[in-house]
Amino acid sequence: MGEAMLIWPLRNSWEVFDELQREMERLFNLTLIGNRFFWEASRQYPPVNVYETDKEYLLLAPVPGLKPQDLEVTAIGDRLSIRGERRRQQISADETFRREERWMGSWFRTFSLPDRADSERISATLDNGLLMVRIAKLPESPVRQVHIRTA
Amino acid sequence: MSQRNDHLVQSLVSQERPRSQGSEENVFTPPLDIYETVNGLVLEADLPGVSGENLRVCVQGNVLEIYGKVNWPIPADARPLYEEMRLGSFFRSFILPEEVDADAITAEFQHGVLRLMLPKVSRAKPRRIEVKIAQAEPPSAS
Repeated sequence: MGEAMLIWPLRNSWEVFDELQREMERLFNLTLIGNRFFWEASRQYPPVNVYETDKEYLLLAPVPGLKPQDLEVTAIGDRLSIRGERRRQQISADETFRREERWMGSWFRTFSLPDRADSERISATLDNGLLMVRIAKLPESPVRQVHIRTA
Repeated sequence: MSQRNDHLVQSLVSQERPRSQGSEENVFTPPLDIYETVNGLVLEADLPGVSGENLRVCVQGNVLEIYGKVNWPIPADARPLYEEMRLGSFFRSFILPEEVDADAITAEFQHGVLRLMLPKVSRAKPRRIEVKIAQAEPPSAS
């Protein structure tokens, strides 16, 4: 997070935008999946990594088991949201779970896009349970010299 | 019965250990679910980003190993801005319980999830013993 702050010092870009959202998400998850308390608010699901090249920003998130129809990626203004759901499969009465380590439930994450992100040119691909969102960069605004006149 | 089964699963998962493949590759233990059916165990492991050709499941003796290499789709000139996860590959190994028929293990891989079917050898399956109804007594003459 420190790195993100350095790059866009004026706001917490790429961070979930506020505590309320975080808390709601936590309650939402707890309600849906009952006893899975271990996923604390500090650890968001899914984890994301964000990269930048000269032409675009890349957001990478592992979402194993999800098909494109289980995922939603939306951009509104300077907010990018990803949402998804995975349910543990139903087993029959004569079957028993011996181990449940995989995280299941509904999740929702929102990020604020950096200034140069072009919200009109966002694409997303899902490959073997890995979501990649690509956000094109707007051309760098030219520096305009402002002429200063003497009063 | 349930004690026995817990032991079975315990022995299946107790041998996990991360192993370093090569020198600097990060290797992570993938989370998994195991459930038991009448026919055996079903194991499902999350291996996001692994492609079918980079996934290796092998059984040697009574050891089952899962190794999945991830080719992270990140351009060479990309610079990280924000990171919540470290990138690496997945490895997990198990000692198979005797109840599992190692020759009959099958695997499926879809959407980054590996599903292994570990059937029990037939003698370990619960078997229903048919109870023959003894010939009814001939109705006694009254």
